[in-house]
Amino acid sequence: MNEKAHNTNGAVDLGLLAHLLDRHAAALGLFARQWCSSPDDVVQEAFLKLAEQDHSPVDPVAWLYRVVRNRAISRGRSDSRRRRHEQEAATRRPLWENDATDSPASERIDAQAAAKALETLLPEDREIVVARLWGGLTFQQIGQLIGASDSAAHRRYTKAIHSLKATLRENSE
Amino acid sequence: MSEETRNPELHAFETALTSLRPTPTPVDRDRIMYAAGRKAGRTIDSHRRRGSRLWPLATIATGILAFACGMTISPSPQPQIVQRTVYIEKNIWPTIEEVSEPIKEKLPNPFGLAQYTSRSWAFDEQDQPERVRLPQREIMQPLELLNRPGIRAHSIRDLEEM
Repeated sequence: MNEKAHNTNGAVDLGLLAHLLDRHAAALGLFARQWCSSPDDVVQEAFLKLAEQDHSPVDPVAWLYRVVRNRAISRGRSDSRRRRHEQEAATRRPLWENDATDSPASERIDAQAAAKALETLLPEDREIVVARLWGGLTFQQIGQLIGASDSAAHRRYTKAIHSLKATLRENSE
Repeated sequence: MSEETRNPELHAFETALTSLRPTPTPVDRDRIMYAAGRKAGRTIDSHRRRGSRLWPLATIATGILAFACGMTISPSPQPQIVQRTVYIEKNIWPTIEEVSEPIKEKLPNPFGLAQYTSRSWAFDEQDQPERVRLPQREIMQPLELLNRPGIRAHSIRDLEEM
């Protein structure tokens, strides 16, 4: 979870940067889509910023999520006209690439239904769910990210998952 | 705090949600890796530059220190002794006549011999003839010997014969 991206010179190690790109780029894009219409640019900028750091952050994953969150919120606030235009383009793109095929049929969740259910959540709950489930962050990291205690993050996450499940059940029925 | 959800039903739902893979974000991977490589290169370069500056500075500092220590420890230069022969003239020393100063004050009358003193042996300056210019002390030394206890006083004539 806590990938260390230290290099001998203190800069970000290239191997670990590649690993972070493979493992977290898509989840970060999903995370950024909550606030802005250009999540790809935000993720790109965050990775570029990480690559140009003099000293690698102690916890690069948490660092990336924090940078993406701040940039996405900042970008979402500005340029509303462009946002509207890009929002339409972004919503056309699915949140998930396909239906889960590696899980049992009884547990499979429709991707579109999941996306709709996710949109019903409060933004502050949704970011916790995305960071936890697809980002793989610990509750401590999520607590630091949203500026709350890890127990509060856990409580809100559990509540959001229950809500999500209920919404999906309602939609399926 | 337990990171795992204890409710098995909820855990299964989480697993099912996690199995949905987010749509890949089209990031410019090459650009990111290039930026990271360039940054790493710059960092190495700056480290090298700092290292290349370190040794000359250390050399200068230790050189100054060694010089200061040397200046402190080294003995101060001794005065040089020059031996040379100095020739002096034989008559450089002043004659008695030149050195001897006339006695200004009247010397006390030694040993009570004044009553025997003739005019020619008076201690007054004006009484001394011009030709007698011997230092008074040289004259007085034999007289002091005579004044010691046990020595009988002689007349001036006896003294003159001595």
